[in-house]
Amino acid sequence: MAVTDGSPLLSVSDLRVGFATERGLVRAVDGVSFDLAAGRTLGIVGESGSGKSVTAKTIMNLLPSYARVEGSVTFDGRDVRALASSGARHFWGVEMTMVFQDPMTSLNPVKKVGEQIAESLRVHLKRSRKEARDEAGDLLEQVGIPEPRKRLTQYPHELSGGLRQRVVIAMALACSPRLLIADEPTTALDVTVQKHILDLLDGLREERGMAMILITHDLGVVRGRADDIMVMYAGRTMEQADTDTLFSEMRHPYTEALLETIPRIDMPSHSRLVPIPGRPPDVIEVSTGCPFAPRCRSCTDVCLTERPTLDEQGHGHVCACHGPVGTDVGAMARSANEASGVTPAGLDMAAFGSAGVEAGDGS
Amino acid sequence: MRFLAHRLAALVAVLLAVTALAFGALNILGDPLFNVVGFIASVDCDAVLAGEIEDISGQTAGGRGDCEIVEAARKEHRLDRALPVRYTYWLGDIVRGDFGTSFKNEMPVRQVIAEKLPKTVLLMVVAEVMGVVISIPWAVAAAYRANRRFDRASTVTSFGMLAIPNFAMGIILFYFFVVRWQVFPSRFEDTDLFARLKSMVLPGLTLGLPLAATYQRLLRTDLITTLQEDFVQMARAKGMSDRWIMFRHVLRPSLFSLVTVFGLSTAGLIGGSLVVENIFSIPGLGRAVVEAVIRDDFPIVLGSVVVIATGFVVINFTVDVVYSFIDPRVRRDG
Repeated sequence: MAVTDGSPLLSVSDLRVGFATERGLVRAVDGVSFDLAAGRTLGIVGESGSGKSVTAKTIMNLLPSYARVEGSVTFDGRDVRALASSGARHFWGVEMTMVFQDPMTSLNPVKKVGEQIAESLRVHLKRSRKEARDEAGDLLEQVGIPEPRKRLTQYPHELSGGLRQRVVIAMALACSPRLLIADEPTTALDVTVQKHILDLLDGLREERGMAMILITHDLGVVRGRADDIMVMYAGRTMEQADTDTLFSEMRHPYTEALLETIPRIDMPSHSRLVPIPGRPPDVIEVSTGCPFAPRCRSCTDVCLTERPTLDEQGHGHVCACHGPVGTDVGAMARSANEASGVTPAGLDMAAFGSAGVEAGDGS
Repeated sequence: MRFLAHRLAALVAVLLAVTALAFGALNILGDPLFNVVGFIASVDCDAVLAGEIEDISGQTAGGRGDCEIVEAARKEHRLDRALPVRYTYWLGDIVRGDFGTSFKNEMPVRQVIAEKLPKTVLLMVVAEVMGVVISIPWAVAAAYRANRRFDRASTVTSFGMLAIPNFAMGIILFYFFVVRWQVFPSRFEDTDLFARLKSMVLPGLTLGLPLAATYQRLLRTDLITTLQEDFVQMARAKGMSDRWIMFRHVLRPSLFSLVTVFGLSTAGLIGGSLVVENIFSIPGLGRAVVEAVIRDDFPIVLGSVVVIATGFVVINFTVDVVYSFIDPRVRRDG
């Protein structure tokens, strides 16, 4: 089942997902494309509502039946959406699985941990009760849970958040999937545990040669872990590049803004974190311009009327922006806005500075 | 264990309260002496003994005067003592297993209950089993495609079942299955277990269908709520089938309301059994209680109250224990 060279394990092409609501069609994902090769990690980064989870759920066939999906998802040459409609068994959970954000709720509270891990093995791989149980114990050991045999008979509420997320990971890995989608796997966890879980995921991925999609709102999480990064906003791809390029030649003002929202070790303490003013747009109101324009400090008149296309910046680096960071157009737009104090979208430039939170401030 | 001890203490307290109320009400609202000896209870014995008046039967009734009979009855039933004292004596007898004898035919109450109770219990068990067995697959099917055609039809059907009073339901079933198609016997047949069960089908349905409707409503709602949980998405991501997820993941944590109402509904069933036992001619406790109430046969009424209240309280105690089997998190608080 080796993937032939050149063809990606997972290929998503022009994916569009809409939800019909009383207020109109919500475009949760609007033309997203990416390829993921076996054994590699793709980081999908964006704020809540950017469409990253919906993208993941589309791949996992977890969307409610009223979702309207267009575009194609191919896994190892197989049409995933066709598999979904034909009710294929032993595909999800075997070839690809997913780990969710909140380990407190993604385990069934009334079933023992061991049963929950063993059920995939029994259903998909037809293991006997005892075999499945033994393997579940091994899996718990692999995800670094102390006293794994004892944990098998415990209920989720008897475990801490970090341990529960490890159990969830063990569950997801039971049938040795080739693709693991981790949707904000550490957001609900204590900061002290987050790094452990991310390192664990990374280690397991490498050990098993698994591909991984790591979804997060935190660019810091994917830095150093993902091979490629896709930045999403309002259901669209804003910027996409391999990780090194993205951080060294950041093009999109949104990517830049995202990076400024997270504290960094190398910044002096008490540095201001810069918030992104405003909030993600309501995806029902599809504007003609760039969706980020109302919150962008490099916004120009063109941004309000014309939707930027996803342009090649070199080496597979793409960016959808009229005035990218690091270009003359972008620099001019920004300095013009700074001079006038307000962007063409009506945003007060002061919002980028004065509302900032003092990092490390005791209050 | 502390949880169990608490529940047991509450159980005893409830039983004491119920029996005290029933005992007090019957003794105050009725006249026990009149019920035992009949109209001679009104004789003014002091006057008779003082020779001022004659008693009603003209002195002799098999050698004993009315007053002697009245006095004997007073002594026997401790009617000369205060009400709380009488209650204490009565309770002591009950605890020792002595339920007294019927005022009317001198039958031991225990024997009456022993004869009638099994039929009523069988009726209630059949009704509850039907309620549960019908409601679970029904609710699962409705919740699986919530707000679709089947679910909507189920809503209408279940409200219909709840709206029909049980005497009407009983008569309708009786008319079709007994009178017209003669599938089931018209009265209770006590020859063997099969005959007993067969006689219980229609009465069981009469009580069980509204139960099934209630349970279906509750379970459907809880299932739909549980289906929104993250662990259901997780199970889907693990590639579990819809059926597997429904029965292995969703059903158990959704049973709380059903189990609660299961316990409470037994009280309603006792009321319902009075009606149903009459329609289907089942010589059960329900009928016996109605007759005893009409004839002011206190010992039978009180004995039945004790048995019914105990049954009700014990079932609801069991329900509390069942919670901890449904959800292991309940055990922690115990």
